Amino acid sequence: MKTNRFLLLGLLILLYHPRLHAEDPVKGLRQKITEEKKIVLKNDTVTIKPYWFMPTQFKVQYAGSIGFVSFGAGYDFRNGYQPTLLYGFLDRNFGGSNITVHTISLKNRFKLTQNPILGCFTPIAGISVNWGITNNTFNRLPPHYPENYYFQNKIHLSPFWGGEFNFSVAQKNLGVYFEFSTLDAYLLEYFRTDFVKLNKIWSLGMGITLYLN
Amino acid sequence: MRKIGLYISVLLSILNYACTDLMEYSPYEGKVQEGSRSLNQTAIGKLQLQSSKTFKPFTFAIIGDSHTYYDDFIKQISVLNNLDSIDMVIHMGDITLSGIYREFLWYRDIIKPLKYPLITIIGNHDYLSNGEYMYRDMFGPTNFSFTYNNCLLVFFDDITWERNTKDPDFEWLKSTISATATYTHKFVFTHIPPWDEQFSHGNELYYNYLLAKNNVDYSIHGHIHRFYHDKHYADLYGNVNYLACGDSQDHEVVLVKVKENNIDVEVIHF
Repeated sequence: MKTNRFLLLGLLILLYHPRLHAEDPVKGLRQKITEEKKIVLKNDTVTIKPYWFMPTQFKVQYAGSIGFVSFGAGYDFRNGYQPTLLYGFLDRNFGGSNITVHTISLKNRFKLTQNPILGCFTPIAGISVNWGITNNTFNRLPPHYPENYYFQNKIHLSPFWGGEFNFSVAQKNLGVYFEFSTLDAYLLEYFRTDFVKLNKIWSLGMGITLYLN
Repeated sequence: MRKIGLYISVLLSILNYACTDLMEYSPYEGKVQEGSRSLNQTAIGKLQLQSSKTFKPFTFAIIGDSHTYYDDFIKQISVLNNLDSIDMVIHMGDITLSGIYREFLWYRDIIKPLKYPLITIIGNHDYLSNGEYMYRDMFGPTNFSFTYNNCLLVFFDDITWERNTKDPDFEWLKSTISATATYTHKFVFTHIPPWDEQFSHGNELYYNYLLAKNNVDYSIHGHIHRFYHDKHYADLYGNVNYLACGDSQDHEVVLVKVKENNIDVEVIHF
């Protein structure tokens, strides 16, 4: 566990280290993404963005039920919808687990306010689709089971809520966010039993977003 | 600049230490937290201290298939706490529904107030996802045995489908129950009864054969979600008693009273 914390610390320092960004690859990337080209077609001039498909935001996340650490890229739509595809990893060295879990997560995040509150805080909520790759998980049951013996356990829906602090550092737009997420299976037990209270189902995740637009 | 990263790391570390249940790396986690490891070994250790070398009558309670019937399971635990003169409680497996992380933590929280030593065996649901690893970390090996008041108690993992149709470790069972020591009684505890569809016909008959040949008195199970008590294979081979307990929703606790010459089974409804 201790080495993990040092790794995390190292990662954060790296990310913030000014010397690393001496040539500022972020700036170059941002220019490429926002680059516009004008093409003349007969009598019309059409403006196109050749890199329209490039993700406009990148995330690094710690915990949050999708692995010890996860990395992702996503888009920012005008209506506040921010889909991000993340890959999360958990094993002996990253998270001190005795098994390896790969998770692919589609985070469907929505900004709850159009402009940040007090200019820096945006409440967020949404639902993730988490696909876990590890032992004894399946979409379709192996053939030796009778039909409907178990429900699939590879994909879980994970509703979440939280917030993001936005600020600019060295002309880079950054967001530090936290999320409380739960799982369809946990939520079901919350509704089904008195024992499982709301405080028993949330799991905390924290991360950093780098915005390029 | 660097300060922000430092602040975040410090905050992360504090949160990580402060709220252990809040941090979940994955629902498929295979490792429990400090303080909830090897629970079976701890219970067996306690039992060894009160066990005698020669036979002495004793009583154990069996419950099983608590799944996520948490409210009923809590009642079951409080009923057990109100009983006196039982030596131990045995949970017959299926402590979770999907074998995922928090289901194990919730089980740990519910059994905490139980005042008797509790032995938990693995069920088929507990094998799902990385439940097997969670079970091994939280309770210990899936096959184990110990002696109590000169009786042999064998706990056998007979899950087949969830182990990719791998046969149960019959060699281990055979060598454990054929021990040469003269036990007053022998008990075998498994989650799935041999007549269940998870057993092939060969395994079913072989299981009964092994038990009958080695003079096992009782074969005790969960899995079928109802109470069952009969000599299931009496007209086929042997004289082994088969006993199964219902699930937590059945609002019952099964007591097995072990005496020198006979074994009484009592069902307490609540």
